[in-house]
Amino acid sequence: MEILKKLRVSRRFALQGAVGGIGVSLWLPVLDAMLDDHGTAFAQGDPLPTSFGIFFWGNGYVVGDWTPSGSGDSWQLPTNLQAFAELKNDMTFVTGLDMMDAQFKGHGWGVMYVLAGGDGNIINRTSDITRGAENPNATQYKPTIDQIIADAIHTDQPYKSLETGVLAFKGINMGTVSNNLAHRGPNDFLPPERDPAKLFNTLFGDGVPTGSGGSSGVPTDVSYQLRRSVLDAVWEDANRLKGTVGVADAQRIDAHMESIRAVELRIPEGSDGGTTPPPTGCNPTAPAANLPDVTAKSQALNRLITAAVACNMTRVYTHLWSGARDENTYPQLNINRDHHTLTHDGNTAEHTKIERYIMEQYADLATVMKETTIGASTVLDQTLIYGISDVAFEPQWHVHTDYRIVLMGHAGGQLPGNRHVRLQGRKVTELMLTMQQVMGLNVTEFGSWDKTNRTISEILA
Amino acid sequence: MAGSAGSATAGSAGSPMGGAAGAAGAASGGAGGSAGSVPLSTGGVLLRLLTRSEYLASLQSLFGTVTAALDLPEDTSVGGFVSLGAAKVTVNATAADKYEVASRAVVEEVFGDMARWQTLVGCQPQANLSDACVETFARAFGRKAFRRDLTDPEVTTWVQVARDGAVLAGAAQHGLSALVSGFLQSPNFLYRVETNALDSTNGRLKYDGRSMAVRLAYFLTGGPPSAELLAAGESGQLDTAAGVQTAAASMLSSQALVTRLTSFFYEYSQAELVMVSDKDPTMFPTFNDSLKNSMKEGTQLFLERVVLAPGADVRSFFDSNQTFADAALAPIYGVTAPNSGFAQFTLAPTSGRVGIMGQAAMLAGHSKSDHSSPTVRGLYMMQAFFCAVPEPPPGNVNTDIPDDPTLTTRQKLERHRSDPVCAGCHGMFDPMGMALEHFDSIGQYRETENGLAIDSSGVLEEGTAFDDLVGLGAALRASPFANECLIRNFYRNVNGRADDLQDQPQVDAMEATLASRNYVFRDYVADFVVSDAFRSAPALPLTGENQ
Repeated sequence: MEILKKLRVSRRFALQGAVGGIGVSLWLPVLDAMLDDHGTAFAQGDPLPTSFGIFFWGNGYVVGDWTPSGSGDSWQLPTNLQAFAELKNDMTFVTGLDMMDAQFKGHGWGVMYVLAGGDGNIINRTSDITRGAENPNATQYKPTIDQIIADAIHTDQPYKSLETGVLAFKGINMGTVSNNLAHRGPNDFLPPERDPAKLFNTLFGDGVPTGSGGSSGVPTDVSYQLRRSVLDAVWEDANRLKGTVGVADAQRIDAHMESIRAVELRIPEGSDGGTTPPPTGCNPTAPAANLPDVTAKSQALNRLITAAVACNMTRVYTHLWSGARDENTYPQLNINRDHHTLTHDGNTAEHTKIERYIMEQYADLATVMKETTIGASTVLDQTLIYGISDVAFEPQWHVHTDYRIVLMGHAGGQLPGNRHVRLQGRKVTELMLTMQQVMGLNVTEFGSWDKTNRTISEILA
Repeated sequence: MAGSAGSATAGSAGSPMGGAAGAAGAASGGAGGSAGSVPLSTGGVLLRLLTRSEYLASLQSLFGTVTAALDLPEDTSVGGFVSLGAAKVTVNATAADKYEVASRAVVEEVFGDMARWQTLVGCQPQANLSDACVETFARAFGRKAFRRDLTDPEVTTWVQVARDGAVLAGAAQHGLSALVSGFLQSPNFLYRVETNALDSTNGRLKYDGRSMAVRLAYFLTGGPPSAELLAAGESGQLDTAAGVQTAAASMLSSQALVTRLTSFFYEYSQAELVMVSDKDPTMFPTFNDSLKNSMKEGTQLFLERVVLAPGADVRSFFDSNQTFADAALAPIYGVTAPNSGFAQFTLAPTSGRVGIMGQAAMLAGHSKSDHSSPTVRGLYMMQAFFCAVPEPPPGNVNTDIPDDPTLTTRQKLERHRSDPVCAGCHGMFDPMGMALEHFDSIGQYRETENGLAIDSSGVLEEGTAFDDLVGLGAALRASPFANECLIRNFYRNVNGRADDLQDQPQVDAMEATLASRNYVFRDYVADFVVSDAFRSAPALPLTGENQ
């Protein structure tokens, strides 16, 4: 898709432009310059890009408070999803799906299942699981679905995928899955950025103050060229080293080399001398450093994620609100008992408060995306967000039964929305396969736990 | 590429690392091979990513003090240690980005100061770097950065980068700073490269001299080898135990070793958990960041000045009656606040407090926000002190512990444990946690809970009974299992390698040596660095989940 190449947003351009507020209403449609007169496609006829996201939170939900009345198109939001009242038309709420035989195994296995479709061993009973997941060695053994999709749909956006998060993990260490969502393989993960100011600097800044010190007097374009030539040589070093190491380390070096290329791709093409017109609107102002509270951080991150997607800096994003089995407290809600303990102590009032609060943050992300336009469309129209937790729970203990999954967005019109799809006894992997197909992947089966070739057409138009 | 799966052939001599190529991972590969005998490795190259502190120490050795703020990738803890994580994780795109930005921040600082960079480079190049100065610098600086000589193709690559950069940007320092920025991003800098080969005398994989220099330096000092140590390794001096002993002598007596060992014990204790722990502010209004910092520092001082004090028995880790407190910690330990900073105190027997588990950081870090947790505390001790990892709770078990104010935590848990499904595992670790029940969620002593007397007695899985933490500390000191587990964790930490049954002879030997050194850990380390446990690795790859 040649047109997408032209959409690459340079940091130089991103730093230019009039002051835009972090409030998305102030942004101009990013891609307007390249769109047709109707704003529904690129001038050359290529469709607008779609994107895929994950919003993950730990510890599940009280099933009863997540049960809507009605199904299909005539349904009412359940009590704990009231934050989405204005977004009901953009939601596809999927209930009833299970993990394997629905026997509970634990948080670590839940996260392995709902994000990666299992650990690579083809089974369909939890009692057949052989790998530990709730210990300090735990990891994802297969790539998470976001990375599968990113590998398939990435063209030349500066970020193949963007990883963000809010609460740093607290609780019993479950290896790399505690603090990270996106995995490309065992112990090969992409850590979330939780600091909005750092994320802004990464996306729209340069990372290093320039114009002083060693680069004094070096034109920006030249410094870009220097950086690229350095990375090329680093890549050569890595390639030479790879030839000397064993299989396992060679895989690590391969991943490292891919990372070097990814960094190189993020360095703007400096040689165009400004001949490409700068996309307008990709100029959010920097969020304040050290935002005081979690809610403010969350809102700033939501706006930066949306900006990155709107500016076509990435087509895949994952947002890790909290990890599986997380033990953060919520002082902003006056809750000083930790989230995971609350899910077991029989007091549903407090964890209902937490769930509603988390859903408010998810709804905020979707709202910002709905308000951010791309031509005649919006980011939310073009995206699909997989809203998922590791487990469900009854009032006092966890289950892998009847997952409640909050899909947001329309993926370029493929999901009509305003729909409650209830499919009892079907599997989460079926939905994960369907989402891959929605994102244009040519796949017909997915998963190792509950390996399936069945899809869930009920979510589609 | 050398090192195809399943083969165990020695690689070509004269590879850049001078080692046998490929076989390190070959034995663990076995792709397509039939189950059964796993081929013995004949050695190979192992990559250990520098941890943040190793990266900073390596930077310091290259440039002296660097003041630029660096946002480095987070360390990854695997199996409880970042050194294990560093042998497993990959440099993802985020990390590569951070290394790139950090390298530019460093060269901005160093090359922004003409006197500084000219001293670093050591020769006066022409503006376009067309003379020999750049190559001289690349070889000398590269040797320090990569901890080995550069190969000719490497020199060619990097000299070209520097010359192109100088021409493009119009000044020598821009080319040289590009070269330096590249060296700091090179995997040859970012990874500790360790090479070993089969030693037919004992069937183990022996590290070569250069690797021994690297291993000794990062283990004993936390940083890269000095020029002398690297030269000693390359000349063969570190091929023998006697040579290692001589070379290590000065490092063994330096304060840097105490710092390194303190950080091992600190990581082992997981006391850092206190820094991310939240408490109910209505119950514990004094628990703020300042108090957390005091708890952390107090525990570090306890480890450094008590457990690792000259001549100290390392088992004081379990049962010492010494502690460190500042004004903030004094009320928690029931001692008189020192006038300033920290002071060492002997805890009264009536305090009920001994050893690492009596440290406020441990008690607060292994608790819930509003109540102590014998389960969390006991589970930590079972994993850290007995190297046992229990199965997680089975499915569909009601884990609800009713919030009954008429019961002690012990009584509530014992009701819960009446379920035989739970009793199997909880019966192993809860009793150890119960020993700490006299200490609340921030580590304060309490005589009663909910107005009821506290019963902190219990029995270790191996049979020793105790009345309280003092008794538990004594039991742990006397436990061969706890002593073995401690040394096993040390072995994992230093080697960046999990262990399995084939490591058992080394662990057994280490334990015996420690005893022969009267449990003085710093003395023991001198024996450790000349032993097979440090100078070589097993030839069989790790099995199962230990891989």
